[in-house]
Amino acid sequence: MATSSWTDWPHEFTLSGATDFAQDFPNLQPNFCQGNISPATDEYNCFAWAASITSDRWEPDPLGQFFWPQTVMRSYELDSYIAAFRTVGFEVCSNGSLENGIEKIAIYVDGGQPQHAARQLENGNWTTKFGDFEDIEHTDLACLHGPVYGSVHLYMWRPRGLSGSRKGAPNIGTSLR
Amino acid sequence: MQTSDTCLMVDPDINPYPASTGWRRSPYTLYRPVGRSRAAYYGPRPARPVSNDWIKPKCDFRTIEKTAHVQVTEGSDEVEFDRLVGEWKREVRSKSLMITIAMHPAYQQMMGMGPKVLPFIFERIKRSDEKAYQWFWALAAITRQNPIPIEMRGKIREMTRAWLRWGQEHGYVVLD
Repeated sequence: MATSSWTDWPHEFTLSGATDFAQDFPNLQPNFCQGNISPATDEYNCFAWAASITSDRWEPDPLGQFFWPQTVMRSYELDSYIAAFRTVGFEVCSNGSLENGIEKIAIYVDGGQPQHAARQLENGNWTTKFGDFEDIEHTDLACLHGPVYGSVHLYMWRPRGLSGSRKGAPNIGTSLR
Repeated sequence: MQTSDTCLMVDPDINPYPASTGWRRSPYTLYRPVGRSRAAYYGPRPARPVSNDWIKPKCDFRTIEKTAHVQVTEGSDEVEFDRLVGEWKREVRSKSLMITIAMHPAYQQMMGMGPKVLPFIFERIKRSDEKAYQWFWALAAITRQNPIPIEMRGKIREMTRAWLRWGQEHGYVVLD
């Protein structure tokens, strides 16, 4: 994976060509981004991607179309998202600093409701899936603050190496944190 | 409109039965109640130069215009459908949540058009399954059905096939 910062938006990042891109993400500049860009897909969304799941879209829609853990109430409130991420091993923590052996996610909230989630990589950068567009690696979280995603409101963590599972919570120790 | 009402298919642009003669327009037809006299419903018939001429069409559109009229009506619905779809798709490009899309005014208006948009939706899904998930909310809301079993929720390609199967079973789309 290339690690040099971008000086311009690569053409693979098709969202950057949208007419309202600069308005939606006023703080996002190419030099905040690094690495490869995955192909655009609609098969998973940012919340599934934050849990390292690429087979499902996660959303608590009231009509029961998309995946949401069965034990969690289908609600767009933050508590519902926290409970959903708990089913794949995450717990609330206080910050997004890089810690050895720990995988963290950041939940962006706007208007009291979660709008986006990003996942921390082992190198300290964050990975974000943009809607149905590509996912990219970015160096900090504030670069996504804006009218679409709001701002980071909450961090969660789990031991690194736990892959997401839709079958339920992985068996993790409680003494880690 | 009662099924026993007198019902004629007419050309929408050449209306031989103005409302003043007791006929009323439904989306596809003109009609007036039968079994009781016209006068009982609408009062004395206005004087006309030719006796009884008002109950006879100038020409018989019953067979020749039905298809054309329906096509015209569906065509305008489809134009409106396309306009609304274009509007919300332009404005929700980077949004992650389906609820954001579904709450868009144009998406709401599209759902408000009711079951007549189902063939258009299924045709779009059949033509390209890219972003097919954006239709599932509307399909579930309009049909009040959910053919997606729990274990399939969130798996977009499988959900797409399940909805297309449902659409075929209910006559909204013909699959190859």
